[in-house]
Amino acid sequence: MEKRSRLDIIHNIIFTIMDNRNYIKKTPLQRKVNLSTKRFNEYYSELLKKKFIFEYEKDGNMFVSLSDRGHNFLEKYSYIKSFVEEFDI
Amino acid sequence: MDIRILFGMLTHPSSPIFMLINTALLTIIVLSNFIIYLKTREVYDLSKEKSLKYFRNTFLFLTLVFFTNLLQVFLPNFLYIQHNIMNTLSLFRIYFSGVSLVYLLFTFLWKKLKKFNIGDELLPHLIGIILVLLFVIVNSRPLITLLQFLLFLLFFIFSIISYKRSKNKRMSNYYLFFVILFVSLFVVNILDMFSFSNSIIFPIVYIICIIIYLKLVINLIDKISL
Repeated sequence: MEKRSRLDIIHNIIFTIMDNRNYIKKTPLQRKVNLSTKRFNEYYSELLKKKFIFEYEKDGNMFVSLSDRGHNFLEKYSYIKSFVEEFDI
Repeated sequence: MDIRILFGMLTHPSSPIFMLINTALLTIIVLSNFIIYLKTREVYDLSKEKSLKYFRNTFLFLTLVFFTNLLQVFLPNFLYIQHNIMNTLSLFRIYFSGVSLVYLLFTFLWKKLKKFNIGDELLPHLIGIILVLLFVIVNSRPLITLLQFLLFLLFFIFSIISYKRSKNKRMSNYYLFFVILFVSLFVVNILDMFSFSNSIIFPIVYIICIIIYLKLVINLIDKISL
């Protein structure tokens, strides 16, 4: 199996949130993107810090959703991906 | 006004209108190169792709090349600048252009660099310094231009290979356009060097390059900045 790039993993996390009607708890998200807790937390914190995702509380549970920047990333992902791949000869 | 006088005012290197156009166009290039550098920061932070690092460094050093060029055009109009200061600026310009061209090649060769363990931090600066030393020792601008042309040629070959291998041909056009732009600006440099700058070719080629360039920059920023 080909190793996922950082960009693929970030896309995977963001896409998974979107695919779950834009709200999901942290633990199921980690399970769905198939990362170790340590690596998942690194990516998760980075996405929170960069405001691609945000956390909110509902009925005593913490959920995560995509921000406008997260949606923007999803829209531009395929272009960014091909832009990066273009450099590889 | 006689059309010949107007033409002379527009194209003569020492005319104020020519200086103003040149300064404005160089300012546009400096700002747009720097904007590319800034706007690709976030994509690089997310992806940590080496190719993007080199791509950004290319534009950072291109900003410095054109900024040095801008200083050379702009400063003598307002300040008394000693000849040796202008010469020093020329050396910096050669250095920055050497570094930017090597980074440009690195954007395509980054996997090979990893394979052969070539120092990606040191090599561009080393080549920049070698170009400066060559200029100081030989004092031949055509030689430097020839070396820069060889680097451009390599970049052009890599772009063609990249284009042929790419699945997304529309995307690849960017790189061919970039090549066209670089070559055009390079042609302008050659025209300038051989004192053909009082010809109508100089401002026309320059302005067309800037228009194409700006269109590319706006498209690029719109599509990859987050």
